Parts: sequence; C-alpha cells; structure tokens
Amino acid sequence: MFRFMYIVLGYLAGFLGIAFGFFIHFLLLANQSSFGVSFFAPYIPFTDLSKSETLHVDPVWKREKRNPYLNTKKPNIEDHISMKWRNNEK
Amino acid sequence: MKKILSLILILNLSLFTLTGCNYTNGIDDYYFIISLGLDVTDNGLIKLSVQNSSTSSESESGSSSGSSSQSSNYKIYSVEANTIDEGIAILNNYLNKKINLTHCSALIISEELAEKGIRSYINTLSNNPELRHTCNIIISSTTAFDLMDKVSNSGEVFSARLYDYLTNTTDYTGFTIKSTFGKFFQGLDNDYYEPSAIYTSVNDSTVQTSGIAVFKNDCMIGHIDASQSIAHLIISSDLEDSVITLDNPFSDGEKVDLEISLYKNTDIDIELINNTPFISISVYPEGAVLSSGKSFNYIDDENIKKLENETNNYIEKLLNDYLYTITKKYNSDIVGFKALYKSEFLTRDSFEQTHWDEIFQDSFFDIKINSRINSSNLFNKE
Amino acid sequence: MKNNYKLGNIEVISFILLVMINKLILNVPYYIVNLTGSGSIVNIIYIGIIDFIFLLIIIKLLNKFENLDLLDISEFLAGKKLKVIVGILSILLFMLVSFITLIDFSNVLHTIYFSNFNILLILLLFIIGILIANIIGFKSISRTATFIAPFAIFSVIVSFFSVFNNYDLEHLTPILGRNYYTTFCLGLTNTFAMYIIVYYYFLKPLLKKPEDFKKISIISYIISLGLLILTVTSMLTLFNTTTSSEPINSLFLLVRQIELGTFIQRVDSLFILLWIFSIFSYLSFVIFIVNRILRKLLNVSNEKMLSFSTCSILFGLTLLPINVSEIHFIENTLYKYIILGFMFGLNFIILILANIKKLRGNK
Repeated sequence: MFRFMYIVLGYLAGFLGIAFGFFIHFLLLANQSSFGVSFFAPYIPFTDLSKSETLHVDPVWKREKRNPYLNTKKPNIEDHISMKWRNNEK
Repeated sequence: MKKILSLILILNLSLFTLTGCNYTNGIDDYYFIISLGLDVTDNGLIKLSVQNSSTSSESESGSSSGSSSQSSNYKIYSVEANTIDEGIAILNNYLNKKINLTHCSALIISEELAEKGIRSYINTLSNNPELRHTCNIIISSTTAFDLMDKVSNSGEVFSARLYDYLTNTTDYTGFTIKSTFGKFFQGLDNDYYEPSAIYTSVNDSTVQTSGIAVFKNDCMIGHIDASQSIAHLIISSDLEDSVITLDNPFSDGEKVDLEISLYKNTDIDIELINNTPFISISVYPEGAVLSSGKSFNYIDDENIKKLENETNNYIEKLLNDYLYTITKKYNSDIVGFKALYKSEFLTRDSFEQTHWDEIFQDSFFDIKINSRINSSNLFNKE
Repeated sequence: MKNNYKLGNIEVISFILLVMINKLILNVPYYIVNLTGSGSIVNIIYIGIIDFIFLLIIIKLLNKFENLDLLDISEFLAGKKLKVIVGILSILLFMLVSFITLIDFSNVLHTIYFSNFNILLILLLFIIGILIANIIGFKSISRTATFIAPFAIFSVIVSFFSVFNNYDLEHLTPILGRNYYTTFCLGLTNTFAMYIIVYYYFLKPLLKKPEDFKKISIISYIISLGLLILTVTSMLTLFNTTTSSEPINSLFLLVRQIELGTFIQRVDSLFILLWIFSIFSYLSFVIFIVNRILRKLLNVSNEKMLSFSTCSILFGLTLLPINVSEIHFIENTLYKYIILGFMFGLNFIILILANIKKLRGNK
C-alpha cells in the first residue's frame, strides 16, 4: 500500500518527496506497539542491547535474563547456576 | 486522529497535482559533454567549444570480440560568445538539448587566452553545480579547438578515458602535474601559492604533455619544460615515477637510465637572512638502474656511491634550474613556500610584516640530495 | 496522559546532537571560520571551555528546581507576568530559528536540485511533514530523532574523513589566526555556535530520569563540541580563509569533493537525503517545544491542535520575500546576537535571581 505513496511522492517531488514519505512512515511505525512492546523494540527506545535478543539468540542454557523492553517485574528467568543439585551431587 | 491524518495526506497530494508546476528533466533532455574548450577570437569574444562522443547503435548487436557500445566518433561544436553561459545558451538552442557539465573531464584553455587572465571564466564555472572539482585543466599551446580535434582522432574507444593519457602521464613520466579544477580554483582564491596547470604542445598530428603552465594570479606568465616539471614534483613530494638519463660515470660517452621515485618526503626549511629568504631543501630520491651501457658492476659499494654522486649532481642541477626559473624569471610561487613559511608565525599580522611577496624573487637556495640506488633490476653485473 | 511522554537518556542526547548537526549543516562553521580565520580551532576550544563552565553553572542553578523549566522558574520568581514575557521571547526565538533553518535549507535545495520547482512547494512539504509529526505525537518525534541522529552524526564524521586526501594542512597556520584580538575577543561572539545550551533550560520536565540531567548535559555537550571542531577543521583545511568568497552551503561544497577511487564520486545527494531527515526531526522538535510553551502560557489541554497555528505562522514567515543574501545577513548578525543575549543574558539572570529568592525563602 505504501509503495504507491512512495511512487507518487517520488514522481511529484523527487527524493525530497521520498524523504518526506519515509519520515511520515517512520513516525507511524515508531508510534506502533504490540502488547506494550514498541515496534523497534530493543533499538528505539534504546535498551541494553547486550541483554536483548537482537541479531543472534543465545543457546537455551545461557538465557538467564528476560528482554529489558518487556519491563517485567522479575528480570531474571533463572539463576546463574540453575541446576544446583548437580553441584551438590559432586 | 486517523481521519485528520488521511485528510492531510490527501490534501498534500492534491495540492501538488493542482499546481502543475512540476517539470523534470530526463536523461534524453541533456547533452553530456566530455570537454569544454575556451579560445580567444580576434574581435574580443571567446570561442566556446564542446566535445561529445556520439554513441552509435550499430555496435550494440555485439560481435565475437565483444566490442562496447561506445564508438570513437567525437563531435565538436563551437560558438563565439561574450561569456561561457551565453555560449552554452546558444549551443542549447542549436543542439535542442540542455548542455550538462556533469561528465566534463577536461577544461581546455588556449595559451593566448590564459595569458590575458581567466579568473572570470573560472569563477563562472566554479559557480556551476554541475562541474566536478576533479575536472582537469589543460593549457594548449595552440588553440583549444585544435587540441580537442587532435585528441578525438586518437582512437580512444571509451569517452570517459579520452583525456586520461594527457592527465595521468604524470604517474609514470613526471613530465607534468595533476591539475584539477578544484585545486586550480583554490590556488586562484588563496594567496599562499600560485595556480599551475598541465601544459600541452600540439604538433601537426599529435598532442603531448610538455610541462607545467605557470600562473601569476590568474594570468599565465610562462611554462616550464618536462625536466623542470620533474624538479617541481620532487620538491612538492608528488613524484611517483620518472626516468632520468645521466652521464655514465664509469665510461665516457655512455648514458645511464635511472627510474627514480621518492623514499621520503622533501624537507623544506625557510628562514630570513638580511630580509632575504634562505630556503634549504633536502630531497630523498631513490633509483633503480634501468640500463647502463656495455658493462657495469653494481655489487661493488664504490660503484654504487659513484653512481649516487652522479645522481646527486644531476638532480641538484635540475632543482637549481627550476628554482631559479620560478623565482628570478617568473616570480611565481607555484610550490607554496609562502604557505610553509607562515606556519612559523603565531598570527597572520606578524607574518604579513615580512612582506614575503616582495622578497620572494631574491630567494636563494641550499639543496641537499640524499639519493640511494636500490637495485639494477634483473642483473647486478654484466 | 498521552501528552506526558518522557524522554530517556539516549533520546535526549540524540535531540541535542540533532540540534548541533543542523547548525553545522547551515553554514555556522563557515561563519566561525570567516571571523577567526586559521585561529578557528583555538577559538572553538577556548569558547568550548568557557561555555562548559557556563553549562556547569546552569546545571547547578537548575538543580535547586526539580522538574521545572525556565517558564516555571520565571513564574516562581515574579509571577505570571514574567512567565508570559519569557514565554513570548522564547517562542519568538524558536520561531526565528526554525524560520531561518527552513528557508536557508529550502533555498539550498531549490538552487542545487530543484531549480524547476517552486520554492513554496518545498517549504510546504517541510511544513506538512512537521505538522503531521506533531499531530502524531511527541513519542514518534523522539523515536524518529533517536533513529536519525546516529546517521546524521555518521554523515558529518564521514564527510570529515573522506576528504582527507584533499586537505591542505597549511591552511591551519598561523595557529592563532589574524591576531590575538580577533581570536580571543571578537571570537567570543562565536559562542552562538553552542546554541544547544538554550535547550537545556527547557529539557528537565521532559526527562524520565531528571537525576541524570547533569550526565546527559555533559555528554551531549562534549560530543557536540567534538562535532563542531571536526567540521570547522575540515572547513578550514579545504577552503581558503583569506578571501571573501561566500558559499551557499559550505558543508555541501565539502561533501561534493568526496571521491573514493573512481567508483564513489558525487555522493552529495546521499548526504542531502540524511540532512533532509535531520531537518525534519529538528524542526518537529522545535515546534513541539513551542507548542509546549504555548500550552503552559494558555492552559490548553491538548497541545497537538496548537501545531496547526504554529505551523501556519511558520509558513507565513517563510512567505516573506527574502533572498539568500538577506538570510545570510540575518544568520550572521541578528541571529547571532539574539542567541547570545538569550543564552547569557535573560535566562541566566532569571536563574540567578530565582536561586537567590529560593535561598532567602529557605532562610
């Protein structure tokens, strides 16, 4: 749908029109959120990227913290040593 | 909110369609020129020449050798006018297309016009957003039209590289400089160094670079030849590669060819002694022996030292000739000694008290050459 | 309430950097270099230090008033009358700034890229964009600015490093410029380049964490100063300062000369695209500030609808018949001294007097 708007704006006003269209499009996207999480979640608004899942996802055993953009009450999913009984056995 | 948004968007688009003052130029509306030439006519007007390559559709069908779609037909159109923009307007009318300077790779000016002063033309062209600052400036010994005509018969296939053989020769011969429009305009605009340009000599059938055109403000006052151009490049630390021929120190009547470059940038030190500039220059050329007569032996250290001494003497003589030409004969600081000297002052006012422009002509020089011969290519001894 | 969106630390820093970059885009480095010549770098460092001390004083004075901006402080000092006066002067300043920014950049676009286009349509496009941004809300403006700021900073840094080959380092000498008086006394007027200080007076109520105000101010100030030094250095080394040629947009001329090999040439339109985004974001933010001030003065509940009137006034201002030389005259003289008066004069005095009143009240 938006691609027609870009085509028309590009024809009418060149790259200024496309820049205008992109700016408005970005404003609309920035306003959107899904279940309280912003569309551009870990980047805008900026949260700690080391704790968020961005380009890669940690292996299951390494996932100890919840994503900060969820604004949860408990930020930790599990302790650093979650299988305490294994240490006790040793 | 959505209603307001959609209303605004529709308003925006409908406004644009209602005004109807949108006009865009496509590629077909432009006439892209490769070079622009300026000559002076007898009745005081300028002769503006533009060169374009005409692409032929015949070669698009492709052949077994894989020829490109560009042919080597170049067209030159000339018109006489008072100013550059007037000439371009007349040509736009004649060609039924708008001349576009975005692909102009050479600005050619005849020596006669350059001697009269070219500031107004350079200012006009610098005000044009289409012209690139990397466009080369070439001074022709005859007329610009003549040079463009000879170059178009050179057989070069790609129009983008038509003037490359004139402008890129400095990389491997050192017989001229790389002079671009941006650098020339800066040289005209500032008072720390004088502008210079590529000088070409046009014979019956050929065009070749033969030195540097020397300017004082915006008027050309002369040119220096190819060997002095090597000296200019050495002093300004721009020498890539060049071949010099010396007298063979080991046998009379024979010559030695050296391929020289610089292993370190030139050191220039300037001081005022009795209100006269004393400029000491230390040069660091390195050379490889290309050919050196019937027999030679470069394993021996003494022989290398002998050759290095001969190189030092040759280059020193070359530099002396060049420096005394630009100071005593032309009084034009194309190297930029003024710019180097002013860095020793804290404020511009204190530098201006030295009146450098008046004393530059009396400069005297002390040249030290620290050459080293690195190799003799394939054979060290024959 | 929807209107009370608070800014995080990164968002505030992005806004301040966008303000700075918009100044760099619009010839401010050229005016600095034109006044102080080769002594510009020393001059910028000198005024940077002075402004930094001034900024620290402002932060200390503002710390006494939690979550209050300049308007609230002036109301505390002398009641509603002073609040209205300060509010009107602030609105006039921001409208002047946005008007100059808009008309200068539109003229550049019109001259270089859109010569067949009516300049009013370029202005209308910007105004409509700003209007839509303000109607959608401050949350979108702040998030868009956070997205655009890194690209705008990147464009400034790339423009410095890409033209490195063409630099003439002799232009940096003599290092103290024309003479000591020009660099250190007349050069004090170059403080207008650190115009970002004006925004610190209005930022505190917008912050999510007001306790981080000092940290945010110092970080954004230092990065802005770094960008200014970078741009001034590139302007100085590339262009001549001894003659009086005045370009329409010096950063554009610098960016035109970027050439990486034979493939990457004439990339100026890419930079213009980034600058268009930053102009949109910056002007949206300025109009938002104007709307916020108007809301405080007029006690309006929904400031979004005020955008129509402010954008119309801005468009009306841009319809004034004004040519490029008049714009540059306004930028170089009138605008410079108005900002200096606002930064160091009125606001500072109000802060000091309000602090004195608070101290006496506490006793």
